[in-house]
Parts: sequence; structure tokens; C-alpha cells
Amino acid sequence: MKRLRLTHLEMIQFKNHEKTSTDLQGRLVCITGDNGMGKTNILDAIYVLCMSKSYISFRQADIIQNDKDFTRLVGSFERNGDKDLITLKYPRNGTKIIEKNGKKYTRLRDHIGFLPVVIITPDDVQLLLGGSADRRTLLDNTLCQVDRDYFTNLSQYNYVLKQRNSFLKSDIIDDKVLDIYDSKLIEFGKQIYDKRKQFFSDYAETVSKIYAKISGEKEDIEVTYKSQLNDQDFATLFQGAREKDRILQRTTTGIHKDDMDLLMNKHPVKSVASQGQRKSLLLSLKIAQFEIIKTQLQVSPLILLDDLFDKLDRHRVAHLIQLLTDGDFGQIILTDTNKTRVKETIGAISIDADWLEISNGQISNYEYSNS
Amino acid sequence: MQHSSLLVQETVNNFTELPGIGPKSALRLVLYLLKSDPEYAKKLGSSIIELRDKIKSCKICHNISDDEVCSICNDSRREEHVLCVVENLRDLMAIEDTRQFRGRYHILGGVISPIEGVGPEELHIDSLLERIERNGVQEIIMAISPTIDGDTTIFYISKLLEGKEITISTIARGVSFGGALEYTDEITLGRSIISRIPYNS
Ligand SMILES: [Zn+2]
Repeated sequence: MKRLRLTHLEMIQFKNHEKTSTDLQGRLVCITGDNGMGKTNILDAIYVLCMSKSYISFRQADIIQNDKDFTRLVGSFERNGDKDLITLKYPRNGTKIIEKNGKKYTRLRDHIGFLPVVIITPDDVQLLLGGSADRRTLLDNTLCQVDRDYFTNLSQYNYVLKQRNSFLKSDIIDDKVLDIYDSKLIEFGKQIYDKRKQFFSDYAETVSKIYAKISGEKEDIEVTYKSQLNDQDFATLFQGAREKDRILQRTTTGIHKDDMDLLMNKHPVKSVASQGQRKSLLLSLKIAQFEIIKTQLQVSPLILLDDLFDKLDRHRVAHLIQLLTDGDFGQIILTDTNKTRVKETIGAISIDADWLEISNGQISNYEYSNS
Repeated sequence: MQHSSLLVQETVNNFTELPGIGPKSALRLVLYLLKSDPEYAKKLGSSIIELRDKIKSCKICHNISDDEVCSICNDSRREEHVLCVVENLRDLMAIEDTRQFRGRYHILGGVISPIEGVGPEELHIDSLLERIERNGVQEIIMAISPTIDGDTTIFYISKLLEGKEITISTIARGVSFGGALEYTDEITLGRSIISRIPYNS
């Protein structure tokens, strides 16, 4: 098992960070500072280096500081003695360029999964309250990191889907063209479906195991894969939806409609779970993601924990950190507003920790201690 | 960069609009023109004007041409029953450079891409079908970039030709999927035309 760690980070014109850089030594990195100072942006910068996309900003160009032409990120990563330098440059009027040790990637699929990462943020609540897109994102983020073919198939599926939707909005709709797009969606979609289905058999079990560990309670948690393809084959689905698609001018069926059902004691979590149970489940969904990526890649992913106490009381935080640091883990990078609170809560765990304090996009105070 | 002469400034600005020319190269070109024989600048200027004024599109294959019909379509030594279908002029030139193809061409003017507003009607597909019908074309070689849109276009044309006595082949994919033809070297491209493969949708 390899353990991945970030040892140096530089952010240039990234959101509110004009020019910030820092060294990281510990396996537990605690970033504290008031709200709005740029804590979350640091985690997002790390996420962008790993996944090439912002986790927080919907519009990718928003990661570039206002009025600036580009942003640049540099990260030094280490795993069992091997060092890699990753740089990402993103010009406002261009595409992102990612380099590994000075060599430019020609295909994004060669990078995704090289730096496995799991992010836990207050927005995770959308996994329960939001639409299916949020749950598919979790699914896709996980599978794209462990399976390059999945990443390729998904990009191609999404591209064809965009073409088909544009075509449905055009003046002349030739059935022959739709037939071709359908056959391509089927070709790519079938592979995505098979992989998602396979993934769920593992994931469902892992989530309920972790839930039992975190909550110490006996609720029965069920995570199931919901797809139109469970009941009908792709070709029939597309045939049946053709008329509707023409009228609505978009593709109404396919794996881009897939969802994840979350049940507690056979009822939808959203309607029966208490506040505490919800929080435990959200964490279980993310820790299960961590476990699956770790097992499949044999690399322990970075864990980014945003706004730690937003979700949990002290007791649960201590328990969570204990749980994460128990097994093989590479590095946890967490943020919170209150340094004292973090110190008191996790101080008992004997791991080398870095304490960073941030204000106005500058890391002003840096101390290294074995607390 | 600001220059003491407005004339220099304007010419530099015009040059920088050309692909691959930055302000430094533009200035170098302008200074060269000032140093060289005035006749050269006149010749250069008028050839550019004439080029834009007089260039035509071949009414048969849509290649660029000085006349109604281009030199390739007019060349009776070239096999007229074999057509190589390409996206654009650049691809035609790339294949012509390999000297491996002795048939005729048909430029589509792009590939099907509704995102960019290109449907089948925007391409020279009708004129292709007409040509096939009229000239008894026996084989068409689809030399289209192996991308999703390229593939869609090949698939579409092959559907229109269903039931016709015609061989459809695609250039062999020595080119990696997602690669563009113009970046493929001559040898690879030449070889892939010779070893073209039958197309089955
Ligand atoms: Zn011609």
C-alpha cells in the first residue's frame, strides 16, 4: 500500500490567493483561520491539482483570480520515497495544461487517478437533499479515479450527449443522425452501466459497514443503484423516448439519469433519518469512497476535510480522525475556524501535525510540532 | 509595443493577426520589408490582393482553384472512380503530399457537429452523392479524422449509400483515436491510405 502526501503547495492568482506557498511536513495538516480568508480555497487548489477541476466552483474560470489572465498551481507530492512535481496552468482564454515532472500530459485520462483524493465538505449534504446529479458526481469521481476506461467512456458519452441535445434543438432533425448518436450512446453507456453496477455491489456493503462503525447504531443502511437500464435495454429505451426527445429537445433517457437510492430500514433516508444519522451516513458515503479507491489503486488517497466542525461535535470528530488514521492513510488536510478547538479535540492522536494559520489569502504563521 | 512610426505600427498590427506571428516576429518582417527592394513589397502586396480576389472553389470537389474546375479534377490521368473524402483543404493537401493517392477528392467542409451549428445540410454531402451517381464512382475512401464527430459523419454518409454498388473504406487507423489528420506525419498517412480498411458500420 502506497501512501500519498503533499509536501509543498504554491498557488498563483488562484481565487483569493495572489501568491501563496507553503511546505507541509506532517501527515495531519490543520489549517485554521476566520471565514472568508481562503481556507477552503487551499483545499480546492489541491483538489484541482488532483482532478483538474474545481470541486467548489461551478464555472471553471472562477478559479482564476479576478482581473487576472491565468492561474498557476504547483504541488510536490511524495509516495513511499517517490517524488512528483505537478503543475497546472490555466489561462483565462485557453485550456488547462497539466505537467508531471516537467512533461506535459497529452491526455487528461493519464492524470486522473494518479493523485487519488477524497474531499469531505459541508456541501456533502446535497448528497441527501440535492438532485441526482450530486450523487452521480460522487459515483463518477470515484470510478474515474480507479478506472481510466471509465473516464474515457464517460467523457465520450457526455460529448455525444451534448451533440445529440444540440441536434434536437436544430431546425432539421434527420432520424439517421439521431440513430447514429443513439448507437454511440449505447456503445459508451453500456460500459458505464456495467461498471457502475459492479461498483455498487462493493460500495453498498462498504457503506453499511462503515456506518455501523461510526454511528454504533443498528439501523439497516441500503445503497442501491437506480438506473432505467435495470429494467429495459438501451435500444428499447431510446426507441421509446424518441418522440418525447424531439418535443422536449433534449435526451430524456440514458445513464445520465442514473441515481443512487439511500434507504434506512427500508425507508428513504431523507424522510426518516435524524440529524445525527444523516451526518453519520454522509461521512460513511465518503469514507467508503476512500476505502474503495485505496483498495483498487493500492494508494491511500489524500483526504481533504473542509470545515470539520460544521458537521460534527467534538466526540464525533475525534472518532472520525481516529477511524481515518487507524488504517493505512497518507495525509489528512483539514480546515476549521477555531485552532484551540481543533488542538483540544485531536491533540490526543499521536501523529505529526502541521498547524497553518491563514488570513487574507496569506499563510502568515507556520509552526511544526509533534502535538 | 509602441513604434515611432504609425505606418510601421499598423503593418506590425496587421501581421500579428496571422497565425503563429507575435509582435516580435511581426516587427522583424516589417523591418525586412523596409530593407528589401521596394519592388518586392509591391509584388507581395499585389499577390495577396489577387489571391483573395480571384481564388475560386472548384465546383466539383470544393478544392481551391484558379478556375471553375481545379487542376486535380481536370487531370485526366487521375482515376475518377475513386474518391477520397476529406474534411478540409488542409487534409487534402496533407494526403496529396504523400503522393500515394491517384484518385480524386471531395471536400466536405467539416464534420457533423451540432454544437458548432454544423448539421448534414451544412456539408457538401449532396454534391458528393450527385457525383457518385453521375460519374459511376466505385470506391470512396473516408479520410476523416478519427474523432467522434468524424466517425458520426462517416457513419451518416455510409447510411446514405446503403444498397449502392460502392466500396467504402476508411484510412487505416495508424492515427490514434482522437488525433487530427494534419498532425500525422506523411509516412504514416501515406501508409494508412494504401492499407485502407473496408468500412462496416
Ligand atoms: Zn476539383
